[in-house]
Amino acid sequence: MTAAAVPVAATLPVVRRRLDRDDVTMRAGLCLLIAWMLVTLVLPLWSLLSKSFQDQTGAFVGLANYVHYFSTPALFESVWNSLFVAVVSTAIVLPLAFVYAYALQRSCMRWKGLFQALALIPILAPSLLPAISLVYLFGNQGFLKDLLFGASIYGALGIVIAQVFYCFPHALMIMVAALSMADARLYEAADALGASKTRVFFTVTLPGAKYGVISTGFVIFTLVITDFGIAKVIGGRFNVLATDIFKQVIGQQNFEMGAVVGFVLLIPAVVAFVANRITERRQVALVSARAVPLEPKRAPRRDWLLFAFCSVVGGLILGILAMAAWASFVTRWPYNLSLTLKNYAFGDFDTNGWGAYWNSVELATWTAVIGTFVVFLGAYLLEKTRGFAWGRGIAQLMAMLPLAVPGLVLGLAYIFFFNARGNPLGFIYATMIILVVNSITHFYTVSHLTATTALKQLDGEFEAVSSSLKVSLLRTMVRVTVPVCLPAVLDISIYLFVNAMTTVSAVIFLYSTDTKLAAVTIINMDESGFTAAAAAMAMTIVATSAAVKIAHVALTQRLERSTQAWRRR
Amino acid sequence: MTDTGAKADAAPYLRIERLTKQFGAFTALKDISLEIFPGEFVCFLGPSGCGKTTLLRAIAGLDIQTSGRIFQADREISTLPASHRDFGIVFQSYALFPNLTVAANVGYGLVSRGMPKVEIQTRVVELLRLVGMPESARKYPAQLSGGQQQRVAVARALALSPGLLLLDEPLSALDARVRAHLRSEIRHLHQRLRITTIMVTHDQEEALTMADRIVVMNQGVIEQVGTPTDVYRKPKSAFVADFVGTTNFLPALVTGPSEVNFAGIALACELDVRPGIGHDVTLAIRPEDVVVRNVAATTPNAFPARVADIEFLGSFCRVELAVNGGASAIVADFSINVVRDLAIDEGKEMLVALPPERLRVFPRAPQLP
Repeated sequence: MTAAAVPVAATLPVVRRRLDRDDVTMRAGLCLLIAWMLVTLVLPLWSLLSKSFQDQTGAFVGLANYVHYFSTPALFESVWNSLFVAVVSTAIVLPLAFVYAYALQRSCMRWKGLFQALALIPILAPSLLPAISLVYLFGNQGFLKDLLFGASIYGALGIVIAQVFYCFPHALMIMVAALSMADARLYEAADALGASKTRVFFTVTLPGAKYGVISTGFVIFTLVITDFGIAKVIGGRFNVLATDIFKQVIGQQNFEMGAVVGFVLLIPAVVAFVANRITERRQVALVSARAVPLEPKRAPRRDWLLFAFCSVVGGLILGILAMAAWASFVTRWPYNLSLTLKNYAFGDFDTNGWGAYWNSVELATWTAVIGTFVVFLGAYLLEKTRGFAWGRGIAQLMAMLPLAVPGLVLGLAYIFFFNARGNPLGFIYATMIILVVNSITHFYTVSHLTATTALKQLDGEFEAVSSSLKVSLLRTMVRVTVPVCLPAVLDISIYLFVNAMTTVSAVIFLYSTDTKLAAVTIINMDESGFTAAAAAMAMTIVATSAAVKIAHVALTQRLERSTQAWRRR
Repeated sequence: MTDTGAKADAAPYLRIERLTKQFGAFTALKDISLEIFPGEFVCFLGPSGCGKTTLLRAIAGLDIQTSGRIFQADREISTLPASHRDFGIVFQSYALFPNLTVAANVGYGLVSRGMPKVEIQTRVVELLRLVGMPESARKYPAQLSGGQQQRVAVARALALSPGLLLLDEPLSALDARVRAHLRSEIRHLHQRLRITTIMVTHDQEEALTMADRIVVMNQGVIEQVGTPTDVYRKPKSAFVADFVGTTNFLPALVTGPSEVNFAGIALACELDVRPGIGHDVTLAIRPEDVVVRNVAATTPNAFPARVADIEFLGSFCRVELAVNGGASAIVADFSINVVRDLAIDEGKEMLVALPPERLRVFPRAPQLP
């Protein structure tokens, strides 16, 4: 019996499993998911790509648009400007976020919770907010203008400062996660071997966080190069790719050239995305399951130094935020500094008035509700079902793609696709629906990863147990999977809500007069010189996001209390 | 192969015919055929990666085989999805639903059957009593110990009264003491219910104590099927002898129809395999089969040896014997009694014997000493 009798088996017929109801449901679900992603992502991008090879009459002109683009210095210059701003901002954010995260995770300084909360505030604000604040601080009538010694805040300088503020919490979150895992045994071993503190830092701490740092670099680079709002408000004559797209499309109605710039903008984003994925794949778990968690020890000198550092950084964040808040209440900057609420009477500055704000709330709510449903169901199908390998492969790939697509590019792609003559889905153009669909797609990947992570933590055999008990997958999903993953579901919905509330880049091309959004009116009011009203609208958005976030924290805590009987830890 | 377990006269409950499973280029199961009889407790035993779990999952329909057929109760189930097969399963992780109470977990399959609430409750109580946990109905899995969770998982698997119970390493996640206890409990449960049971394990002790029959697997093939005594006493291959229990492997040369030469010593033995005179073979003998008491020069297969090393292991001592002036070594287990009575100590010269009926002869396996 031990003798190998392998080749014989090859002649036997290959067995194919019959499909049960769950298999059919699952396959239908995956097909729907693929169809959704094709319509909301792949086909629009394809329209964008093909548009960049056409002239204004729609005739195919090959690379002519690209040749024109790269041979026009005024246009091509933006590539360098964008890269410059992105690299400089990343180089500043990385060390700041690392030290801040180090203080939060590895020191015994005071008020860690407060510092952590403070640093995360910018996430609740549209990227336009720091730009507006900087205008008030260092702009033509800024009260700290003299600190610049004659340099102008409008341009690369302003963009970089605003980007650092805007990107800091994103960087901090990854760094905190990277520094949260450490094996105390490594530090004890280093101590026992007589390594100096500096040597321990460079041989244990830094290598452990290496991939987190690299990953942060790519994420921040992408954020900066694809952001539109900051450059729009404070960029002045300093052109970057993101503002170029806007100028080509809205200013000159040159959609073809807009498509070319969009495609050019897609390249660095995709390169950073792929590089990041490769880095992640290289990352091996340095911290094994048996690791002993590291408890930071007191070191007064270090702790106080870090406390001072965090106070300065936190103070700057608070300062920029406070500036915008103050400006929003000032009667007439800088001549009449008495406080007023009239800047919040948005109807006086923009035809939509408060309507734009409520549009944003509506968009954010729909995006959160529908988006969470689609994303979680999609992640469930990909994570918890078997078979249908090629369909799952395609869907998995498409779920990761949105991360690499800048909002502006996606918005532009939607114009080309949904506004095309003969598209049966054209009716959603210029409605709330297209804004919701666009927002869900724009923020799909991060939500998807959150859902996937939560689903991966569940026992992989729940589905096998259900089928052995003749219970349908759907029932097990409703009774077990969703309740267990509820915290992640809440996380996703809040992420979608806040992002839909604050984003401008993706929706700037897609709103109509009826569906104008709060963040868009900030740009409009700023353009018309109503900077105080713009600041007021930005603060309204911050307040809304913050309120929702606080409600989320409270809800999560209540949920944890009520389910602590069965949740471990 | 006629001891206790095999009921060769009965029709098999589960019949596996020429099962092969491929993962890409890797063949996890190679042309496996096996019959399991009604009410039997069968263990699939083997090192990790031997294909035992793959075989179990193919029987369950969770990971379908590449080719080959499976019959259960005279019905072909080869292509059926898991939901259409008749089995209950307990995983190593137990896979209890964390947000449901013990009662809800056990009754999970019953609710979907549309059984009336009262009946479900009665059945759940009955099942929990069966596994000895009548008081835990309202607790959540996280509030139970590992052993208790394991019992709940068994109760849940039995809820629909399946014809076949599949246990995938059900005891591996538990600590040694609980494991030994649950071993006998599962065994008793089986004796009471007489449900045909397959358990996958890599723990030979578990297999030896629990199974009616053991299926020893290695690298995707079945090495031996037999009762625990068979597998232990008469391993069919050097692999089985090595994997189940401890064995001395001694290089030898065939010198006669029932005689081999090991380290210059002529040994009588039963040659099942007949490689022919002049061939290299491997002799296998369990350490506890080495005899030292009442051995005389006339005892069959007796030869002098010197105690090179002695290791105290509680109820017995493991003794390393140097043979032929240290050219070869044999490991022997002597009870404390023997050690005391014969004053066995390091350096002692004595006569030992390898009883012919205890010697197994295998073709020379290159990877073994």
